[in-house]
Amino acid sequence: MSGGAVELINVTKYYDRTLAVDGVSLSVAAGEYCCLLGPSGCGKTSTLRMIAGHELADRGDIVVGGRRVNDLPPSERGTAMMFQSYALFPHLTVLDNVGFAPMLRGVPKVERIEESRRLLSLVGLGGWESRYPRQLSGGQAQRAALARALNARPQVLLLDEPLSALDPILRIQMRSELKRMQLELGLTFIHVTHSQEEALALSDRVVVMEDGHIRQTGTPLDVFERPATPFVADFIGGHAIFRGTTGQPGNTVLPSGEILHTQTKFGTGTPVALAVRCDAISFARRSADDNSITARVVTIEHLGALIRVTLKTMDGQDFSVVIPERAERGTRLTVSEIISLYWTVADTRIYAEKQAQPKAA
Amino acid sequence: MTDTALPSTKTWRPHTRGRLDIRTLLQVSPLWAILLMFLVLPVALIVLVSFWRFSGFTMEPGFVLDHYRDLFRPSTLNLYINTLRIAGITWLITAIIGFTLAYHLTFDLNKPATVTIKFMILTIPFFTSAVIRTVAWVPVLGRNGLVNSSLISLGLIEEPLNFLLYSEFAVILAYVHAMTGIMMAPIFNTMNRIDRSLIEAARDAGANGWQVLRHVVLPLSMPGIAIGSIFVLTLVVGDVATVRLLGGGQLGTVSVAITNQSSLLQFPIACANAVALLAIVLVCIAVILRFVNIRREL
Repeated sequence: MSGGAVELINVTKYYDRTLAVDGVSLSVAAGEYCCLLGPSGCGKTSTLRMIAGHELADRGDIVVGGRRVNDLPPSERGTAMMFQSYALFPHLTVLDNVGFAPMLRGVPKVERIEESRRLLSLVGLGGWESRYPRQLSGGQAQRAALARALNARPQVLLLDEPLSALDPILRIQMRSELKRMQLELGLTFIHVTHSQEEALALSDRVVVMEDGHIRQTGTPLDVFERPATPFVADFIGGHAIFRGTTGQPGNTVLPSGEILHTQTKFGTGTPVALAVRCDAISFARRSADDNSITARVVTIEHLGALIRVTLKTMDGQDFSVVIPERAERGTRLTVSEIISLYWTVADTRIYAEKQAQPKAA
Repeated sequence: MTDTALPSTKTWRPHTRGRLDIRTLLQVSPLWAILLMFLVLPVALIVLVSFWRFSGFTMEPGFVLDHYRDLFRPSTLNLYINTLRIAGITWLITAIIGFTLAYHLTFDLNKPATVTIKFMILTIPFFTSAVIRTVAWVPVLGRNGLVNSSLISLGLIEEPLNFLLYSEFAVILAYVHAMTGIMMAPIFNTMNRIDRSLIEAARDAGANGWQVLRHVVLPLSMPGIAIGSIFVLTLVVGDVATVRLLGGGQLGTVSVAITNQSSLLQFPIACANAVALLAIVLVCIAVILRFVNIRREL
């Protein structure tokens, strides 16, 4: 088995009158781990299901492994889907579940059983062949569903929020299993999730979607360091977003009246959004021309090695700052305290609102 | 104030299962009374009387196995064969039609409103009296009835078809008409609960329509089919009115025999037949339940 490339060209999907996917174009290279990331209703699941063939595209082309597959049924596209609920057949044993696709094709029983056993030990379920799905834990059910999908010998594996039903520790464990398996098998994985942590951890390529559109694609680091729009900056997490209006050249004025220095070519009076990485903000001024902002501490979350402090600016904008726990010891914050925060001007990204044009400061 | 004791109230304990106290006993006693009076005692009485002696005119308490021995006479065995044959054919036809209807309601329709309307069309007519519905077959199937008259005036036949009425055909037809809804409803109920993503998963693996039906829908509908089958079996085997009204005098089933014997006051043999019939039905149900797990549907 080896991976196939997937290409979407201007794919559109309507549900009755609602536009779910709006002219989406995407290129996934063979053997790549691609995550579709976005909030509920952004069209990521619809897109995945259109690649799978479980939904029909209203417009556009879907190409898998060099073939246009719009008119092909799901089983002939070279894709296999792993469902969010795993969709294991409750009346069949794990072995029969995994051997389902070959059984339909008429593969002889001996061969089928042997191949299914091999796949089950590959996913770590060796010995569980005669169990029924109701006897499996969440993680085991997922492995079984994975083995079943792999038995269809796909070029592309499509995963619909596979980790959502697992508890946090298991989620992290299964995450690295999925990555390991993808690398070992060399398949193309397309994985839908609403968890930015998952997307950042797993993907070679992240596709951030909103309202049926792709807002940005790139490597996780690309998207995190250079978000294309305020939405992406916000959704990918780890950014503080401030909204204001440009004033004098090089200045942005917040509703609270505070002035931040930003380098921009936008004209005076343009509404803008600023994005700063949460870990770039500190409680101590490091240089004379640092930007600064005044805010009230709302909550202090002790997350183990990190502290997340959520704050509200004087004009009511919420944001958070993340600092290592050891650094916090020097500051001794209290809730409701009003403090000043600082960051380097160069760390500020500025966007004109209603346009997705980023300008690095 | 040094006294910190709270005013004493009755001790409250959380409800635990299986605890027997007077309140629990009182709460279950109405159901127990009904089951005792209308189920346990009558059946016990029937079993008891089935062993009593019958002298030709009267019965007297005793313990004889004569009546059970008599069950094995060819004429009696014939009754049982008839009964089971009629029940079997009815079951088969209603299962096929019921399954198909349930499938249509579940998978072919998109709007829930349509499903409800069609379901109601299929079931509400059966709220009318069963006897009236059975009797209504007479003018439909009779020699001068609806079917024969239409066929004759269409020129398809010259003589009326006699087998339509007062025959096993009529009895099975009436049973199928009456029981299809009863078979369809539990199957629909179970089928509706099938996770649609299972069907998608099957298609994803390459199943065509028939394969989805055979490997996913049918196995997962079995609890509903089992429940419907139990209903149909017990109702057909226990019914006497349809056979009387539509079967013509010649069709003998166990239920008819029991009522005949009862009207002749031959209670011991009637009871023996009843017990035998009950035993057969219980065995059938046990076999069904052995192979299908209906617990999750209850």
